[in-house]
Amino acid sequence: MTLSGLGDALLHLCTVETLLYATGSMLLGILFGALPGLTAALGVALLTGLTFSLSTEHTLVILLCIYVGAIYGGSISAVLMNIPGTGAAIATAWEGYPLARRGEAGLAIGVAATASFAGTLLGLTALAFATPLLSRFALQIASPEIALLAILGILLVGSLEGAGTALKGWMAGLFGLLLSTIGLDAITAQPRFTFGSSDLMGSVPFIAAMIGLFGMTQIVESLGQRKPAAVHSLPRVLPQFRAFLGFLPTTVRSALVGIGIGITPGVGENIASLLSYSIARKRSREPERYGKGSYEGLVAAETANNACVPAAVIPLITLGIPGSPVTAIILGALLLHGVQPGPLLLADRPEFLGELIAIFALAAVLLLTLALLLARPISRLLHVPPGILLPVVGAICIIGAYSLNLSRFDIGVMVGFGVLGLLLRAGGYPTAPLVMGLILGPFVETNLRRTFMLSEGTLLPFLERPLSLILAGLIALVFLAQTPLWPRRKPAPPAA
Amino acid sequence: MTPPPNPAAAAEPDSASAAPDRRGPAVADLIGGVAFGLLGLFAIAGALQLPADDARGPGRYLVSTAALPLLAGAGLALGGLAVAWQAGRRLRRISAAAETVTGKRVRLADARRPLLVLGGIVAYAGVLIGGLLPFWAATYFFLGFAMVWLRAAKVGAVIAISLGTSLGLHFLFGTLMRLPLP
Repeated sequence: MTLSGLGDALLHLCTVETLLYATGSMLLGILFGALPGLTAALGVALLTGLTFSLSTEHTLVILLCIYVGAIYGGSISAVLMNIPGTGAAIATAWEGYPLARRGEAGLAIGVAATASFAGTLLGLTALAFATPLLSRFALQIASPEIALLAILGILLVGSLEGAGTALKGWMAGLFGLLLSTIGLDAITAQPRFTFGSSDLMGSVPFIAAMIGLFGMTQIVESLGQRKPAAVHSLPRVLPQFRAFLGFLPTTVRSALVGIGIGITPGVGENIASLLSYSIARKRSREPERYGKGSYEGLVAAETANNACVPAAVIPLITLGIPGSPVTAIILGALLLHGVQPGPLLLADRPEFLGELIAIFALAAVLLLTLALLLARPISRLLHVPPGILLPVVGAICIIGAYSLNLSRFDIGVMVGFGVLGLLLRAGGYPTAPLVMGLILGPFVETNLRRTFMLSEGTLLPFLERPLSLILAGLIALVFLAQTPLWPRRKPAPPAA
Repeated sequence: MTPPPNPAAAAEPDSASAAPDRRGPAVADLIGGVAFGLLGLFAIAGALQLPADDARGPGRYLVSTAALPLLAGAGLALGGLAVAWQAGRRLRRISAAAETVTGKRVRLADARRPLLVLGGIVAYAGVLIGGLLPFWAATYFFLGFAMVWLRAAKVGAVIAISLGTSLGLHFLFGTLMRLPLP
């Protein structure tokens, strides 16, 4: 792909019709992301059905703009209400909501928008320059590495989120892993812990569970207080350029994490943001600010999830394997339009990569413009009294839980997980590792068992492969760091 | 005359005043630890009933469908035991005499409001799951009752807001997005 080819592709997009499609889709994507339970996957799936009569280019503009918009949109409800609009905004809520309570809602949304823009730009840079290289590297990541990476993610989040003790965090992660085994086994189709219920055969509905754990618990806790905490917005939205430069190392590192997760087939932006947040917290000079409103944590989560979006397209177009659940739907849309993603795609249609990059560039610019324009009116939502706003959010949560599978059972799951979330919080068990376990459970299980099947039950594959060995060493370090064997700095004597 | 220092109080500073606060989390940890331990044992028992792989040796369970439930169950059982044991030790250290009725009453009063909110959401969800009312009507009643109970606005305004919101949500999702609402 040459620069002139990219320029041609960008010029080709600059028609009134295409720009209208792009703007409308971006707005719809932001709305889908902001409403709890209405995910990027649902938005892309709903719109795929409406794009049959359109050209392939317009279809891609619509679907990719919705995808990018929804991943950012999740941060809006995360910041304003502590309810992540999408799974990719879970870590955003941990930092964004405390910032909103401090009166910095507008700025938090502005920082999230800027980080999402930077993430999308860095992701599309990877798409442009590193597609052949990264797709070759992605092929090196096999079952042992994916399993270890997932275990490391759960352990890290458990260590960081455990209230005073990592043990509770790890137990919450194990509980999530156990819950992820409910339903049909992915390898043998053996039903497990379904208790004869056909609704449980398809595993625990993750979106409904997430809405219950985060949405319902937040509503009950906020309305349960005699005087619900007021959240005030500030007129400032755009972050200072100097502050943005200060976050540059975090932005670049988080984008690399997002790109790495994006090119790993089937993982997706939820894990990218959680992993990037965990790494940023571990490496931060001010880890004590995390969970209390850290812009660094917000930047880490939002950069990674949006960098993951263009990167998730890389294995799709080079190998025909979707990099995330949403790109799996986009794969279906491309097939409907007669485009066969895979190794021959770029050989047959060399201009296709340029078109994709141009669409992502347009989506990034639209995202920043619309997000900053809409940040102030959206943050005015906070002036609505909590007694009115939160019951309405409760009704939207119910719709969100129901809408993905159109199942009343999912409403029950939402309520069940809401009660579970309240019980866990009362006992001092963090919910974040539980969510990690629930999301990563299928990855851990299939890849761990696949590895053991190939090695006939021995641990050799984990020790023979260099990347596996590094990951196994990191897991051991995370464990050791929580034991008395780990050397600890003695507390400084109190000042006289 | 100054009373002699109480050795227990010296070991646990502010034992009497802080006891309800420290006893509560310890009891919660004990209950949580036991619950997680039992859950772990239940998972192990359930996993052992799943068909194991044909392979022989210790790797037999690692490749089978029972692998992850077994590992997670064992982790939960051990973790639950550790949490319960630590809580038991903490409880033994806290003086039994420090338990006051006042502390418990305050806790119950604090829990009443969140429990009522939770009950409202559960009732709303129950009506929708049972199909007792159409979505807009169930939402109207839920919003109306919630706003009146929370004293969010005057009754007239509450009726207008809850009716407008429930019909608006129905129009947005049911009509525009063609989502078959519960």
